[in-house]
Amino acid sequence: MTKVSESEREIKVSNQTKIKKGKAQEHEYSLPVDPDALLQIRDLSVEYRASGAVSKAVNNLNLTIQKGEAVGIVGESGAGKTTTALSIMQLLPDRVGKVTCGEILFHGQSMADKSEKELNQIRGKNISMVFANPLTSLNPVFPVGHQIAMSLRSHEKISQKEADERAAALLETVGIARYRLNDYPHQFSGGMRQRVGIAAALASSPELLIADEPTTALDVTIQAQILELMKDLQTKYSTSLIMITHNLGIIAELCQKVAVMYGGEIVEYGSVREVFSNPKHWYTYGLIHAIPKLTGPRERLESIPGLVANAQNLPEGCKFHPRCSHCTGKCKTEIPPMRTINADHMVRCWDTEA
Amino acid sequence: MTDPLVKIEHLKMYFDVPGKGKLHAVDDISLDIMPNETVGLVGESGCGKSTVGNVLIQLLKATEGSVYFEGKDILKADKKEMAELRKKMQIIFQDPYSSLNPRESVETILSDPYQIHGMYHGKELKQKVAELAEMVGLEPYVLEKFPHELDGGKRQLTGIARALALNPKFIICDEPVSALDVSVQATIINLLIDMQKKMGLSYLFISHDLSVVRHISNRVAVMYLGQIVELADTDEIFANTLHPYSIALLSAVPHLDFDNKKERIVLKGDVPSPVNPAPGCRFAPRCWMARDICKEQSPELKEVCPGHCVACHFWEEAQRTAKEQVIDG
Amino acid sequence: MKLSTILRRMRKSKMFMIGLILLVVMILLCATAKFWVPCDPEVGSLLDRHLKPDWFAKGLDGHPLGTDSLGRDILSRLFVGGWVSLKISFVVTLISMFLGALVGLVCGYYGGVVDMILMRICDVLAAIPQLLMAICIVAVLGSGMGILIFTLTVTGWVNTARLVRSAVLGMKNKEFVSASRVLGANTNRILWKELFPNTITQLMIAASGHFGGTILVETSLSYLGMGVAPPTPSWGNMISDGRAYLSSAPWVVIFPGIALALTVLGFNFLGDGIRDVFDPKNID
Repeated sequence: MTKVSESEREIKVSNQTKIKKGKAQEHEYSLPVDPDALLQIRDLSVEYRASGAVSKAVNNLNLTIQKGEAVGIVGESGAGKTTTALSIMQLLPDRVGKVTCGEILFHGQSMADKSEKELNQIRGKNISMVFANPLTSLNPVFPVGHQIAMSLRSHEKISQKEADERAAALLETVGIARYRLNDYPHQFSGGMRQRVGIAAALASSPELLIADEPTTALDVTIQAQILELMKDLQTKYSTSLIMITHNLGIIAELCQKVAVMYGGEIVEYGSVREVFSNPKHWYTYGLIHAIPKLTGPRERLESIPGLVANAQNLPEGCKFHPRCSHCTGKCKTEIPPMRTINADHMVRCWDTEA
Repeated sequence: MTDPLVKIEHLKMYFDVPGKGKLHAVDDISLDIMPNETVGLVGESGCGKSTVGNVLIQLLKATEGSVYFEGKDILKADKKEMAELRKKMQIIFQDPYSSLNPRESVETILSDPYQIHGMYHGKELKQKVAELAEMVGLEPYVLEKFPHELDGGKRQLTGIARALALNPKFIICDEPVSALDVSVQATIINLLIDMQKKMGLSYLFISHDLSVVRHISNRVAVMYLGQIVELADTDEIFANTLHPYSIALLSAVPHLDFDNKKERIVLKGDVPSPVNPAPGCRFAPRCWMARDICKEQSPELKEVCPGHCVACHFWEEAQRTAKEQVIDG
Repeated sequence: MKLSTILRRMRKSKMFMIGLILLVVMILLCATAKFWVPCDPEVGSLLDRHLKPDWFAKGLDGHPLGTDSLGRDILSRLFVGGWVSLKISFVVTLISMFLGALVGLVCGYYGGVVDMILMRICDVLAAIPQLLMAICIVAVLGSGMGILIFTLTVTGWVNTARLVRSAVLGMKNKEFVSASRVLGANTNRILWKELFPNTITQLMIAASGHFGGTILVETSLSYLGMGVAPPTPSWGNMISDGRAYLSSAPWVVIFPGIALALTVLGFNFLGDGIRDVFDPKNID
């Protein structure tokens, strides 16, 4: 999404563009390159191929992250959020996951053009990731301090002693006592392990942090600790953040912008306040009304009928149309383009009266 | 004043931890559940809420205490009485994946309850199963499917149908929606509420999700480390939270309310181990208002306002803190 | 599972079909052997010893696969002997599977002292090489069909027991078992209706491997002279007989060897195929 302050014109997504594998140069991009953006994903399409079945995980995704910005990606399972994150990190599973279209630009340079060596430099240093399961994202046979130090030393030429010292300082930043530097992951609780994961991710002060459901496996009070920590760190280091979650509340607290994903596409995008108080896509509307509230009257929950779109068998036209109560003939055959509503709000829907 | 359907009295469940002592999973819980009522049992992992469910349904043998169902102590029931009880008390599990036998079709799974109790055979059985499926909103084609062919929502619907088969009076819902996507959660929650109205059921709704508990429960009990720390009507407990832990729990939930930005209370540290708990209030080590007396004397669960019980020495102070929190944003 | 689904899957699984065809052919030939074989498998004329195979040049009247050192027709001995081997293996496998499943279910479900004792017995039996154990037993009790079956069964059930036990251990704490208990099911029902069906696939796979393995052990024993006693043919004692004449009359050894190899292979393929066919998780 480019800075929409420039014009109000409709942005046509060229969904008639033929997908050419690998050769990004021949593709007609729907949006121009944003020179100031930290990260720009342009027309990204990712497929998974396994035993004959093709899973279209991400379809024509466009997303721009500015420096210091926190963007939330919200969606249910199968929406393509984790695939997007892995694509950014160029960590799609070998042979099974394939980028069939589009490119990812980091500081204006295409990630796909980089060698493995360059990517290893970027991963951990410029772009870092925190994963969902703190149990499995730490290596059980190394002490936590060692793992953080290892990450530091792979990006900077520092001595072991210095790395250990910085690791200890990092642990303190995330609220873990320094003397636990040499403890093993199994000696920590889930919440603390996740904090170690965050410390490791922030070790080299990355410009962009991708957090994939970092608090899903944690208790609410521990989640609160982690969220406060992330807020602090964001202010202190002005790290850009991509927060992937299905929890709307977390995004409301942590992010300025939100992208709602369904069936591998972004169906709504804008400032958190705009999108959540005034949802324009029927899916977003459905999500918000399906969640019970902590305050206010207890109204009957509205469920979204049907099943979540199956990436192996996506519907024609608008991917949400089989479940939408406002579906029209057009919705069934043509993919709606991303339409600008105002400076803070864009939606991918044919219904203009939403 | 009607009698409670389920009366839990001083229930204790201790596990032996070799080499370390006793794990106080459930430590002296007393709770009443009335007919046609939903009591929400809320707390974080390790607080013992699932254990309470398992003890009630007799998957675990209680260490101490009594549980009265329709006036009779079920923990002392004999085999015959238990068989009858099984028809009246059921459970819905959290994991829709492991709570169904992978080798049985949905139709077989739903026939099991009737076959176990020798009710209905042949054509009659098939009919009953079809009715049951329809009641929870499962389409006929689902009956011949196997669990792995269904999504989480349909699996959970099967589990619910199975629990409803014998026309129970009381169902323990152990985190029934936690493993499901948001859009499916709503379907299940609505169904549970509808079934309650239709069949006159009581629920013990165990969950860590405060919003869901608020939506479905008439009364809420907050658990911490094996004990109930606060118990009140739903609206009352959310509007007038008295226990420091409950306050912290509520404030920890990220919410969509842009206009009422609250200053969050962040608890320090992790949940301590329920093995050989120290004397005094279990929450004291993490409580921001803990005083000396808190570490020595364990507060009792007392009714401090009509229908509102709390286990805290300084609940009035906590109440004040809760009210001061709201900052207009 | 519906029969039509099972049949469809069977046709789709190459492994299953190859194994099935191999075995069906072998079993049919062996089972009907005494009706169609041209010669008496136990009697031969010394005048005809070590005749080369004439490969059906004279149809079944000649010796299509040659003769052995006593002039006995190899073709006849091959299939009659094969039937002997197959029968023994079938009985042994059946008993072993049943015993193993029972022990496995009981150990896995009840645990505790029962589990400990039975598993230690398994450990002891498993620690002794099957062949060695067989030799010892035969040495003490003498040889004979009954003793042979006993010998092969004594050690055969151990693996199955362990397999079933670990499957049960993995399942007994799953919520669907708890659900059954909560519905009021008694232990019997839980063991046989909930847990056992979930072990059947593994049992079938184990059985097919066991079948093949048993034939090999029986063959080895017969080869050593401790299995099927002459003049009754068995692939093992046929190979043993032919050993001394390997260079001059190799066909005496080769044909039983090939038959043995094909049969065991057939069982292995079948076992692999069974997993494909019967696991409901395989999406067809």
